[in-house]
Amino acid sequence: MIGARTLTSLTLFVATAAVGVWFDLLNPSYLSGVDPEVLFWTALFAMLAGTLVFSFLGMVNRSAYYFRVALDGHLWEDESPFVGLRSVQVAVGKNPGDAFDLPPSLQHGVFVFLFFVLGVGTFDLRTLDLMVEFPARVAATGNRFCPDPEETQVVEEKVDPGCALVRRAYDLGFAKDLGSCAPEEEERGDVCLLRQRDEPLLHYAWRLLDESYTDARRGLAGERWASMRTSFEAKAPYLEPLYRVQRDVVDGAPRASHHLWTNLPQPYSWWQRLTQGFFNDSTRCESYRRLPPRPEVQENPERQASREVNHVLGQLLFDPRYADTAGSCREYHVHWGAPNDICERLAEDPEGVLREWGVWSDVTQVQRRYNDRIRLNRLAFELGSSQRASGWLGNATQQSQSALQRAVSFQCYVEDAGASRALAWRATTLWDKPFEIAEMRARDGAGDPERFVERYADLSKLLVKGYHYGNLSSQVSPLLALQPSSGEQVFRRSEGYLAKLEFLTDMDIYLGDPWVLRRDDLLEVYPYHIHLRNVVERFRRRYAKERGRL
Amino acid sequence: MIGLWFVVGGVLMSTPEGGAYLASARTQEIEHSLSALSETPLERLEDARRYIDVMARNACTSTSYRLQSSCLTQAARRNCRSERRRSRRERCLRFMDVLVTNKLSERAFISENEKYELMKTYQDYRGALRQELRQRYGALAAGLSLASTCAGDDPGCVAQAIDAYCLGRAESESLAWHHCTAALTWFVGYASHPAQS
Repeated sequence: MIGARTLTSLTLFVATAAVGVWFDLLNPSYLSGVDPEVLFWTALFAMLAGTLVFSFLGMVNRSAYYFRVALDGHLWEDESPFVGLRSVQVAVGKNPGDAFDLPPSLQHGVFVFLFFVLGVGTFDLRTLDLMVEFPARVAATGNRFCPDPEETQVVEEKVDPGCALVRRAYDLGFAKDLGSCAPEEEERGDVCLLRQRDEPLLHYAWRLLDESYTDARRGLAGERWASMRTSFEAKAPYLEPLYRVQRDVVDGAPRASHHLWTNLPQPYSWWQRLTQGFFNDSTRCESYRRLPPRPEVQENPERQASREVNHVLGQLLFDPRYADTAGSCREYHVHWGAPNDICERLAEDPEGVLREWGVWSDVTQVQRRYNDRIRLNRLAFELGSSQRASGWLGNATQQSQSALQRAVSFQCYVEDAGASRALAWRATTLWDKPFEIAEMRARDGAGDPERFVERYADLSKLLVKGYHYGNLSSQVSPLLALQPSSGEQVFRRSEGYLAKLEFLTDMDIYLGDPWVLRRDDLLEVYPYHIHLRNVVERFRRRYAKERGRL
Repeated sequence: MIGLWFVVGGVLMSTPEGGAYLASARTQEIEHSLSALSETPLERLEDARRYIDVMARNACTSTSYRLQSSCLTQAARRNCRSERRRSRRERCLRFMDVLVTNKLSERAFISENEKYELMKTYQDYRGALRQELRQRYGALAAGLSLASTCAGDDPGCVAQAIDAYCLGRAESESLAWHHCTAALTWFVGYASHPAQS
């Protein structure tokens, strides 16, 4: 036997918990994201409303009725059948006092819990703001009146350029008409629907109500229902992609997936990555902000080359000091410590290698997003939403050959002691689409300034097909660039210690002038802001044409 | 043998290669420039500034900063040749170097549009430009004084602070080390000139 009140409380508890779990309202990560102020007011609301309902329903008393499961179908005296079959029935009867009842405090807790879940599901900062503003809104209703028609409004007449003389001539009678300078006829203003100055508040309220009713009727009219139905029927087969598109936006799912494999080791040891927080994407991406022109030389020479590559990639793609970053750092993945033949294997079995490196799901997510977009383009076209369709389909047709290839890319960068610089493009197929995998092989050389500068060229060529940074792309005058060593003679002279450095502004080390690169002292005072900026911004302009995001 | 050492030493002295712009050398050069500015009468400094201005507008006008730099350096050397005493000549070359660099760096401190605005607004354009430059140098010096921990007028410490500050500026903002250094050296040297107190 269980008391009716206890049964009600338990049923409410289970139902509330189920709703809370189903809608993630009780998920700790969701609750931790709720604004503390909202949480406080929700808890207060739950306490007050829960207590009020608990007291109003008299839950503090023992249950007046009980429920019992009669397994043999036999009912006791004073019992009535509630629900069930002849053999098994749930019976209800008057509680003589021995039916099981939860303690009142526990039942009180159930009601507070119920309202807490309700509050968490419905309250947010906007709700709070609206509630705070409610008295002011009510007080302000009907306070805005239509302007008095007799009120003289001073409107400054706008005279088109060149019309002043024509008007003057017209005023003096030298011209018969104003022609194109004639003032346009004033359009009749819209009818003012605000409260009239002599309108009683109740009348105004009635008018507002009538307007709302008319709007509602218009909304429920037959054509509107038909159009809604057509739209729904068209969208129904696309519910899944529609939902996924919304979810992707909310989740911030990747819109691109670019992968670069290199045989160089991780630039940071496991311990450094742990202490500097580089396992976390945000911290890793944050480290690319405001990179110095050159990376510091590390004690561990094994990782120096990796650091330099990481540094160059960071500058070329992510450093926000230069215009238009190439993409979101989270969508770029450098896979360190890859075997030298990674590109060959990737070309032969892309899916296998991507799975092996644990990036298959990441890449397929972008592909799925791309497919969803294509499907939704079709939907927009079916719905006849010309603007959206033309926008989406326009992009799709322009990029049908390359939209996915723009957002998903694979590159390999191999440094080897004996290697001479060589760039190769390998063809492969993924999701029945052709992909090109770029592979750059270059000589090694950690801590060597010449090699460091060469890496800008190597990585630029690797990331953008056909990219070249030369004399014509540089800020240096092409004539001066032809005789780069002339600066060397200038620096041999003793006078003009500071003024001589002006020559460095006309020497672009990224063109590979070895003379400056051999001078460590000059590299310390080199005006990187001129040439590095040019290198990065030019690269990004070209890169944006080749690669990007969905 | 001794003669050979002199020859090698002489060659090395005449070609300040390899480490002329390492931190220690830079600090020393800035310190020497600060001393040169403080030891030269203000009238002479003003004359030199006017001379460089005139040369930049006339004989050394060029769209190539490399050529203008060479020309102004030559002009400065010619101007300093009039100093009879060697110590004065060397001092002259140092402050002239600062002035030439400041002339060349004007574009880094004041853009063409700002110059045009000054030209439109003020009748005495050159005076207004000078005033504006002084303000920009002052803002730079304010940053230096906030960043520096130098106590008193220790020129070595100030030189070191200027070098470090300008390296930082060159790294984080669009201002070349030598532009920043010349501007600060002139501002600090001129402001702390004994004749000013």
